Amino acid sequence: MKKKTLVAVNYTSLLLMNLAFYYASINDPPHLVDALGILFLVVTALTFIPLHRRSGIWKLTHAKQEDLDEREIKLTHHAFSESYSWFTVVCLLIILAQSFISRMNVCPKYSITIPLAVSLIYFAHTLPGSVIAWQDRE
Amino acid sequence: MKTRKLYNRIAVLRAEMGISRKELAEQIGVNFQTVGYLERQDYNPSLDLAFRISEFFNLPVEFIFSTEEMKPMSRELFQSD
Repeated sequence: MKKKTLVAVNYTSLLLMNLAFYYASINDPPHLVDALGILFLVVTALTFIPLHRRSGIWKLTHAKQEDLDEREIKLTHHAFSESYSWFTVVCLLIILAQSFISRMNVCPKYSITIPLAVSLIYFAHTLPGSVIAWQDRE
Repeated sequence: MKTRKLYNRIAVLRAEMGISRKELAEQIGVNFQTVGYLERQDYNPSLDLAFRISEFFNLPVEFIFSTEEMKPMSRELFQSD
């Protein structure tokens, strides 16, 4: 599978997993919704392996600067600066959504759930690698 | 700032010496993938790396790198005669 497709599938399944678990936390849904959340979690994990681990991108973005050569330093620097702006936008949108929801009283139970917090940690760690994979000429 | 594309003869010189990308990478202190990027001219090396490459091949830096597309070495030798 192409790297761009893997990035798209990885983050789409991460988003869908959060939506499923969020829906499950505010309603009393059938077990199907929980099962869907777990299914999307599995898809996220399965796409993570070829995209970040097997391709060596995880090692590249988590290596010490002295272990990289000049091209790799340039590449990771660009990926980190780009992912910083994307991550900031995503976090600000979540905060904005939360303040909007609480102010409008759309959903009084809304809060930062554990799956969302874990997803944000995952997102922060994988975003630089995803930027590299997305921009890589295949 | 947009940088110019640099052309080089690394692939030809490496083939002439009969060494692998990995061996060249070890000699000039980079990852072997970086040698691939250099050979495909997808990456412009720093001045330090360009000098390390020229020292390895024992050739002047301007013979290995150029801002203009390079002629085949055989034609250049023929024209210089």
